[in-house]
Amino acid sequence: MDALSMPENRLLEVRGLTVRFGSVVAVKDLSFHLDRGETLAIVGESGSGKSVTALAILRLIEYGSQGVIEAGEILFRRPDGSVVDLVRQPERVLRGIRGDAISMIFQEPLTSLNPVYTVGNQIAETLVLHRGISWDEAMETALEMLRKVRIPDPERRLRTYPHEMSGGMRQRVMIAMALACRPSILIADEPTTALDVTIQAQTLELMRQLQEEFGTAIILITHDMGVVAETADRVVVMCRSEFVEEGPVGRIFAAPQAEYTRLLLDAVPRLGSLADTPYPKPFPLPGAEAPAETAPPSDRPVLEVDGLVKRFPAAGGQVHAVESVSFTLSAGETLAVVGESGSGKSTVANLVMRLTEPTDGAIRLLGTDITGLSHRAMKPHRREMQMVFQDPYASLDPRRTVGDLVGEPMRIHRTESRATVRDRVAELFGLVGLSPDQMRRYPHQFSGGQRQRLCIARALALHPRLIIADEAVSALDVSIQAQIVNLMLDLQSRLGLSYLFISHDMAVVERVSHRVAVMHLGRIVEIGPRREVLANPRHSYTQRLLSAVPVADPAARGRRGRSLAVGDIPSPIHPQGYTPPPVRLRAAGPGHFVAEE
Amino acid sequence: MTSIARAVLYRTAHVLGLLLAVLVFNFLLIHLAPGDPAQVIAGDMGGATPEVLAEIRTRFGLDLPLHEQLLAYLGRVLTGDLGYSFYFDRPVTALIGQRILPTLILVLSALVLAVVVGTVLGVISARWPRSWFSHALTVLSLAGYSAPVFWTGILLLILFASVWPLFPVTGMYSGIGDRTGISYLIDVAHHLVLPAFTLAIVYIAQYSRLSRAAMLDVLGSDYIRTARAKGLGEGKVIFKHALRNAILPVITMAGLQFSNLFAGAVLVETVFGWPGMGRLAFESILRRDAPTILGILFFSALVVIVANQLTDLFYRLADPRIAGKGSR
Repeated sequence: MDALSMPENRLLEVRGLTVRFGSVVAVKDLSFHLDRGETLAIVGESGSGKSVTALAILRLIEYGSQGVIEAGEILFRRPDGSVVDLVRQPERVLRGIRGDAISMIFQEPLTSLNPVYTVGNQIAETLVLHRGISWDEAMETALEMLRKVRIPDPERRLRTYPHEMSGGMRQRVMIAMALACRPSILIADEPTTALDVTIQAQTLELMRQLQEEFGTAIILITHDMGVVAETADRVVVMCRSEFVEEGPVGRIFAAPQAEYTRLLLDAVPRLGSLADTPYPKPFPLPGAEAPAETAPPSDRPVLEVDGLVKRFPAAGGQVHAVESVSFTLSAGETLAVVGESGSGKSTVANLVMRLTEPTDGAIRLLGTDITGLSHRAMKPHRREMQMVFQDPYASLDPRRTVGDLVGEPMRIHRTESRATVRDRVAELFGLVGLSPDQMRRYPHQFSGGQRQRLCIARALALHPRLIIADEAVSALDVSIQAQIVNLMLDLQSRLGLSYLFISHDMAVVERVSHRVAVMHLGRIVEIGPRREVLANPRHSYTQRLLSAVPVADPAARGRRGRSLAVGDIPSPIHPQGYTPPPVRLRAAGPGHFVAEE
Repeated sequence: MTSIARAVLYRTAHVLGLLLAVLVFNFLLIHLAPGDPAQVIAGDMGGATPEVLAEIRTRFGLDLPLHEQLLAYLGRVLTGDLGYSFYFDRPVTALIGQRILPTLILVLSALVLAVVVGTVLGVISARWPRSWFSHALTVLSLAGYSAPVFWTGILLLILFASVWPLFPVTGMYSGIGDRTGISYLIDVAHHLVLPAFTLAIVYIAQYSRLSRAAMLDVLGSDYIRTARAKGLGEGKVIFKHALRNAILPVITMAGLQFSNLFAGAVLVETVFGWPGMGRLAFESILRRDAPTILGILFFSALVVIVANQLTDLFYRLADPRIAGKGSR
């Protein structure tokens, strides 16, 4: 049993793990280890094999997609001290370990909980299974766990269903479920990726405290270097199914050994890195010329939004989705609209595009009020503004060639003749860095980053003055995200475009914007020059939002005191006939306005 | 439970309105049909002199304007009087009362058979989607889906009542002796097997496909991965976590198709000599027995509407996400 020995404080040792799905090798010869009580982050971009690794430890890859562990050992020290190789254990033994000594939480807390059982049932189930206790006792412990993850009103929550809870609360339930049997290892696969930044900060803090209390070792699977810097003790970097490097978190960030790690870290947007300039600045990517600052915008307004209001009917009243929102956007300027889910930022985008009708207010595009225009009268104005969406996989019709897709706006608006559409499409391909030879291909033949380039090309087809980018880079890996941001900045300086840049990511916003508007519960609570708002936030919400952003620098960890406030983003639903208090903005500097609190 | 109570209240009002609409529509439909109802009644009574016809018209209000006839009809239905069948020489209510039970027994058995067998087959083939069983089921369900009811019925009769006489050929009970209690129930069940199975085949085929697809979908979902990560065994994963989600589309379809099942019963009852409403409907249509036809239409509508409401309630019980939403 020599092969099965590990140092005393070691919980898990993965040796030469190779995982295959059919003909695809998803993880290749990966080795790492985990010691008691520590947090190991496995980082990488999509397709790096990090999530497969997480599932392989519990041998969960064998279901559904039918992955196979082809080689390697996964040594695990059971709570009784004996060491077993998980790769060679029968299903029966694995079931005894899953959820008991090793448990998991996943990225999507909504879909990861069964919709037809109560939260209490799902937590208690694990306890009944592994502890052999009665349902009543298990429910008692489940209640205790809900208290531990600080869910308000736990007695009532025990009997509610997952769909009745917010995303943050659901992830707390997942954590309660995973920790119920006091596992020695918690595998967390992108646990906060689907959460808003303030909720993410709360969740990470909660995990840290529970780790201390329970002595659990954590394997954190993530793509977010900020989260890694804030939580991990050691880091394993993976790329394209392979191990890249491993080391203590401080060393990885300060002195990365591998070229890939360096590139990855360079592409990470860091809040505060542009404090010396009021203008956007491209990412310093290798192979590109020294990043130049972009030109200052003109003061000719392209878009003026005045007193915009949107309310939707909802159960129990109305959603006040957008309340008295006013701003202007000049030629060549980027205004970032930031906020968390439900803040109304996407509704603003839809209202400006006239995809939804406003309840009140005016939208002037190049001086024309477009709010009352008929469908027909609106058509010429649509050429002036185009949209780029978040998910480049969902926003390209899979059954049409990309050349056809990019050319479609020109055919709809008849801006080009049949013969010149092709030339213009080729020109657009060149503009966004794609080869015109690829026009006859279909969207699935392109990577995520290339698809977003296609979406941008399509948006540029009609020579618009304004591009509305709704979370346009949020779904992309950081290295791709950096390239797309650079492309957008390049296009802006060449074509004099104005961007309305909707985003939840403060660090990206800092890169791209001249001005920032912070939205909360449908209102703009702060608006002003980007450098002012980010470096000197005046509104308490802006301050909270900024302090919640994970900082990609382990040395800065713990510098900011964080409260463990259990917050949900408050509801913007009010009873029928509710009159919201007026929004009063006061000047806090040149062009910098803050809502009174 | 208040949301369920509210839903029940709203649904009841909805049902009453629907039934009224059905009554009016059926009544108008029958009166649009060519032919003189007085002639038909007279024919059944034997002899049609003009005096007799005139008397029949006054007695049954057939000389009144249509809207007055309608009001009178609605009034009678409200008091539970569906009219009198001259052909069968009995009140329609009594006639239907005698036939509704066999039909309900047949239709409900077929429904339960279809849902249970269909779902079980679907679940098994979804769990092992590449097995020979799964492939065989795909072929068999295609066959079951395509075969017409009267054909499968006769085929089953030849096979299991004639070649291997395992089951009786016709009727609902044996005429021999007076059976009571358990022995009577067993006898009825014995007679029920072939007709219920015949009626269910198409739906077994459909629901096995439906539940297979739903189950495959559910088995790939995140919460099944969570259930497995908890260490639950395959039985719990399938029957506690997956099945309740996978059965939702089957409930929806079963509710929608209840009326088809009812209509299918007409053919099956005729083939198997089952003494239900289907055969009654068949005979009364041949005889142009308007009161009976109207009564049957009304009763079928009532049964189907009630079944749909029950489906809705079942769905609410099975899926808490629906239960939470108001009654609309």
